[in-house]
Amino acid sequence: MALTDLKKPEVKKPDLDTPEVDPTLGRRRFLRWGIYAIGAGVAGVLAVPVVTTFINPAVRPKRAEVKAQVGEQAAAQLGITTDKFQPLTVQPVLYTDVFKQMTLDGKDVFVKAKTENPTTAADYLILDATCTHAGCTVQYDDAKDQFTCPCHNAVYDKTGKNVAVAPKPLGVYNVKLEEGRLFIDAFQTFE
Amino acid sequence: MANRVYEWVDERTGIKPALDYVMYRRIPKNVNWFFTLGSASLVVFIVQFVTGIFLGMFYVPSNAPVVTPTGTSNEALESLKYLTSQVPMGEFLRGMHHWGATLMIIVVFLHMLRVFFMGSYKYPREFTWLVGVVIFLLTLAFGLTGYFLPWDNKAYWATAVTVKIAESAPVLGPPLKEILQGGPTLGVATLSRFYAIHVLLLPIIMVSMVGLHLFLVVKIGISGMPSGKNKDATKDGYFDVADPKVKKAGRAFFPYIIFKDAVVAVVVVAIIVFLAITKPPEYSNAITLNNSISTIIHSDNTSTQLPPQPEWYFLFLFQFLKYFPPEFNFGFFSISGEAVGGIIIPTILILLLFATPFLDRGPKRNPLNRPITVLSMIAVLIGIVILTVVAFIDNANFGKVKPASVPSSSVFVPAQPNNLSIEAFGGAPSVVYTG
Repeated sequence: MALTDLKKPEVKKPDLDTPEVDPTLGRRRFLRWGIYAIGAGVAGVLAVPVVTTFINPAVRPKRAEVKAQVGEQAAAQLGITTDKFQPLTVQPVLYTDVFKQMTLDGKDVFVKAKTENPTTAADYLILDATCTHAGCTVQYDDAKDQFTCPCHNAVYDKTGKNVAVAPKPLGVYNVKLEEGRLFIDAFQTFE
Repeated sequence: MANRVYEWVDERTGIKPALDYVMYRRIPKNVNWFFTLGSASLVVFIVQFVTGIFLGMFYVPSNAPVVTPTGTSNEALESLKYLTSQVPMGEFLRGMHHWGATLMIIVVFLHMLRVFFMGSYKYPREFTWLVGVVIFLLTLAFGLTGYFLPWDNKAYWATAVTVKIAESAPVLGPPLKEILQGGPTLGVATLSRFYAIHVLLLPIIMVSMVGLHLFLVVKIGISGMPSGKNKDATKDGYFDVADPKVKKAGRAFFPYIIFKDAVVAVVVVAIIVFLAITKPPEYSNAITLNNSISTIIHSDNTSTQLPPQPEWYFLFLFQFLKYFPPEFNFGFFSISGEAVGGIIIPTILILLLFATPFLDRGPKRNPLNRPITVLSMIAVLIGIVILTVVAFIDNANFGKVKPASVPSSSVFVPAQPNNLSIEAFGGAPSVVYTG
């Protein structure tokens, strides 16, 4: 065999620009993973505020602790006695949560003392004025010492227990006494 | 696993050849960092799109009165304040959208300048340029409508100024004003209108236009620097990505070219994040029925007079208007200075922008070979920069001078907010919140 018959072996030059190239090649591999990392980083930066705010309604505290003052003055000046209920207005509540359409401006409650000289929150009984039948505002009948509802003649006794028409007793508020003033939980509901 | 899913999808859609075409298409080797501005614009647009969707979940486009400890506010402003003060990361989300808007205008504008100065709008990219100008105008429209949505004093005055300028347009002005406002006054109808335009109309048009723009970019290819083979916009010079002969002249888009884009994306997003964290957007006073005094409350609780002015990127136009006389009277015909400076001249400039590829038709791309085109743009840019700087200086002095001396011409005083109709506010407050 003559020497000229020997062909120069064909060496295939790697083409860096074609996608079929060996993926272990350094520069190309670095760029590829760099792009993926950057893409993931940018997506992450976007995802953090987006996901945090999106799921917020599910993770934030269900009910804010918001107090509403009962009457305008200190408890001692409100004329609360043990024998008759005192109709009082809850002071306007200011609350930030726009998505909680909540107002206690001008809400009516009925307050009575359980003992002669009330000194603690537990000494007060505060009833919600919302009728448990159809949601009207009940009225306190001084003479009979009972509550009646003008809408469908529901009747509650002097403890707020339902006597006629209404399915449930009047709601009883959790009371707070701070610096001599009476407060109720603004968002307390009676299910 | 990912490969098998991809193959499964490809077998049923034939997506692989299309993706390969997009990802491995050839890009001229001489593209440099200037050519990343387009993808940077896309990145900011995506940031705006995503953050906007989630802002929309909290924003309430309503001016129902809301009682706060600092006075009566409105639901639109309070819904944003709720997001930024009560929801974790809420302020960051809004900050990203706010600064993203600013950055988008800067990046889109710079991208347009790059294309302009390098003559990339020439054959065969004239149509790509036209779509690009539309995208630029849409970006400004996004800024204009979005700025109004917080429904505070700053938003009110900026929009009042804009509407006033629109009203000055010859013949079409008065109906245009009512169409923009959605009624005779700036009120809740305007809020609904701007909201719908900002979140429904503009995004639909924008996504279509960006899609078309990208399609053209991929289809026709990148122009490259105006040098070497690409220096002239001729049939020979144009970079045909489909032509196998040019394979050696270019590099694959992925991963070589896109890597630069990715680096710029990181820089752009980092700037947005940095600004959103260090300079969260402030609120000025809420627009309410009796709120006729324009003041801004700063975080240190000092309030200053708020000059009625648009967002910074429209400031040059606002300043430009101040140098026009109230009226040009030609005897047989008169027109307000506001109409000339605020409508006619900007419209001519926009039309010139559209017409650029048809006015500058020579094949030469190098800016040195196109002195008239390039010098005209430089003159306009210098004008814009000077007017913006003067406006900023004027505004910095705003609180220090007698309010009566600013603004000087009566045509720039927008309608007072107490012109808002009582009906628009829907009666007494029914919902009570704290701010």
